Amino acid sequence: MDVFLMIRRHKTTIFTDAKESTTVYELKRIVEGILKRSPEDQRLYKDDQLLEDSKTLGDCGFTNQTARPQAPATVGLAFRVNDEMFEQLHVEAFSSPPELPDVMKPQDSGSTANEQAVQ
Amino acid sequence: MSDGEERACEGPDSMYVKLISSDDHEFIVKREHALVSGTIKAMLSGPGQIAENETNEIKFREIPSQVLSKVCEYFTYKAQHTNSSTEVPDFPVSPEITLELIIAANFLDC
Repeated sequence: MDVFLMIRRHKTTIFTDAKESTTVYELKRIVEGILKRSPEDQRLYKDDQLLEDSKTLGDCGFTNQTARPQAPATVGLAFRVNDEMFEQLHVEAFSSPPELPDVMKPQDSGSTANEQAVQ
Repeated sequence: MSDGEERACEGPDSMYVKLISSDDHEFIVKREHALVSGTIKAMLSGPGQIAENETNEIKFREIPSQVLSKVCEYFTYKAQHTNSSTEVPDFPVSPEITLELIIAANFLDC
């Protein structure tokens, strides 16, 4: 079954899909094709859990139910800094949406505001 | 090791294009998904050498990352369910981004 993923690192997000049977290593190869870093230089995370190359995405908890096209699952990515170390996993949050204008806020008192908006 | 898994061949992201939001978040999506947007399609395949055509990168100065990420999810959602006979699930949109999403959709023609 297809699983849909956002691979995220710092300010980069890669939207891609794969199969539940795709391994973590194959996913790193896809990242390699895009960001030009070899799989040995990559670490992939689900939440804060480091994912092993030999596991499949299904094994790691990415299923057709948790990773849908309109709500893809997030995979963290960290690159190797030097022979010894990898960078810390860090993902920039998206911008916060603006405050809702009053007319769009849920109304407790009924539909008077909605009627005005329709006119 | 088989080479069957290799995707991007020529060019930096030739199977993928990079969409950059107003706050410098980079979203990489498959080229065929991005072509769901009429505007992006025109930018990438129009006549002449537009800069975007060369680097496969498009910067959207008015679209923030919250909205652009939703747009990318929509591309995948649409590609998945077009020509599919299975029941199509709803596409969830939170109210806060609705206004900006409509503006972006209008601009992107999708």
